[in-house]
Amino acid sequence: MAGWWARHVPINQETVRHFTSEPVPYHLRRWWWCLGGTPAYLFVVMATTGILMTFYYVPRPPEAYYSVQRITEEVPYGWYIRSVHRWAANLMIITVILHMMRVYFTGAYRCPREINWMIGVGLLVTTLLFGFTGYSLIYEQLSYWGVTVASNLMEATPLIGPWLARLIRGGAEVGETTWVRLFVFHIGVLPTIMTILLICHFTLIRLHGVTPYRFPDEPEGKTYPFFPDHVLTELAIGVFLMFLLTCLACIFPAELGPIANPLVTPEHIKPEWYFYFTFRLLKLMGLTWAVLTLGFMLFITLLWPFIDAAIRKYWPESELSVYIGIAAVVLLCVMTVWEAMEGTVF
Amino acid sequence: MSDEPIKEPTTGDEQPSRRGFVTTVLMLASLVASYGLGLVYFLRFLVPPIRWRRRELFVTTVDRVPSDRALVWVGPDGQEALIYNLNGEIVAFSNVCPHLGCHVHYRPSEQRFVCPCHQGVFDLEGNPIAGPPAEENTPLKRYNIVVRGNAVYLEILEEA
Ligand code: HEM
Ligand code: FES
Repeated sequence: MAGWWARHVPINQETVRHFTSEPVPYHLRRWWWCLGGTPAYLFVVMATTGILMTFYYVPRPPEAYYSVQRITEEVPYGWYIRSVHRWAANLMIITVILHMMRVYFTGAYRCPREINWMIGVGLLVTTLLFGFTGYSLIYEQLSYWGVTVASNLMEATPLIGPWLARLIRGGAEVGETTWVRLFVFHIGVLPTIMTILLICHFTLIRLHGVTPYRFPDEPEGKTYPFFPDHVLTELAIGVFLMFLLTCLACIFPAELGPIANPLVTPEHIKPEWYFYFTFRLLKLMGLTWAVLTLGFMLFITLLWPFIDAAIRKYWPESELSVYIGIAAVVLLCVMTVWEAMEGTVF
Repeated sequence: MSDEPIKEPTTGDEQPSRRGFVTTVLMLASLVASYGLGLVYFLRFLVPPIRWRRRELFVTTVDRVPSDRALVWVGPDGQEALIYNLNGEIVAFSNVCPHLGCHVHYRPSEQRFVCPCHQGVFDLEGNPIAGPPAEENTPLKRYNIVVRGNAVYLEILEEA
């Protein structure tokens, strides 16, 4: 039997062993150095539960809403699959942000890992777009008005705005075809982009190795093998995550708001929490400034490793990057909490 | 010693290698051009053409247009207009907020239009008085009104 396989799939055993037992530096025993593995695991959870829901979902309003209702109320374990998908999405966004903070505050984005930071920013944007398109698919009131606001926001982008807006709407206005497009983005385009970016991300991590670091109580240069040690650790984290997701799904199952009504914007409207920041920003300034500010922030984040390098060239000992990082985190938190606390004024 | 640069020994290879360079450039250029053209077609494919159509829709009769509150008119495709008599002139505002497209709510008690999305506020003449629309000074869009005899028509532009 082994001989049969060896003949039909002629892989060199040595190569396999070499590839899978890549030594992992000892500081990765600390969980916060492995935070990147969590969104990766969650992505697999999302793909699995997502493919399951695709068996029932109908990407055309208003059936879209009724198909989600059917998944939630009739299909065996539908509520569970949907709730896990929803919670995994939220956790994914949280863990991506935590991972990004770990990378930032340990300076792991610095030379030679700038490109991987930029790929990471691509992953962050893709994750957020997953959240937006996914939320829209439900076709509840907030989905409809979220899509309306977001597509108009896209339209305000300089130069490519009108094209982008028409691309997402499939016409001049938000309508039936828009939901087919949101669906295609959510289950086709974004997963493809995500997969490609993840392959690049992981390849670069393998090529560079994780940023070296040594905690005081650790032996110099000690490592442990990727397989089986690190894989086992990640699998154990995975089991814990499934447990956590199941608890969350049971205690706070995904709900279904009122069906979209293209005629009436509801009095109380708020996006998902991870867009509170943007939402607050839109209330604080006129549209042009809001678009410019968002674009500028994305641009700075994307090119941060190079900006940081320039700063450190002039002030080699400066701790500026840490302060800027803290300021950014505080700003994000303040805007998010501010939006969360505000009961609609009118 | 002279400063003259040392010449590469010329061999018979020189001509072919220069030709090789040109061929490579041409090859790359045509590859970029052909795959690029394909990409342009793909991107064009994704964005459907839009044809607009102008229509006049009957709304109401002149004597039924109120002056103390807005008449909310809902068109066949969900367009909504807020119609009223403003000092003798019949006006119709679109209820689509010029900020990011939510539908404004009419507050008869305050004589204001309020957008629930980012708290844009408009007065009865459609002028923005608070929120993001005021920052950008974007008023509510006005529909053209056509009065024929006693009949009031609204001119709308819609996707054909
Ligand atoms: C879907 C989202 C993402 C996944 C699955 C992912 C996965 C990973 C994994 C498994 C690692 C190995 C080290 C660790 O676990 O901390 C890593 C490292 C890294 N990630 Fe991510 N990541 C994601 C998003 C991001 C984002 C948003 C950024 C930053 C903008 C980023 C930047 C980096 C960088 C620079 C490294 C190298 C760190 C080092 O060498 O110490 N990643 N990523
Ligand atoms: S959409 Fe009306 S204020 Fe933003």
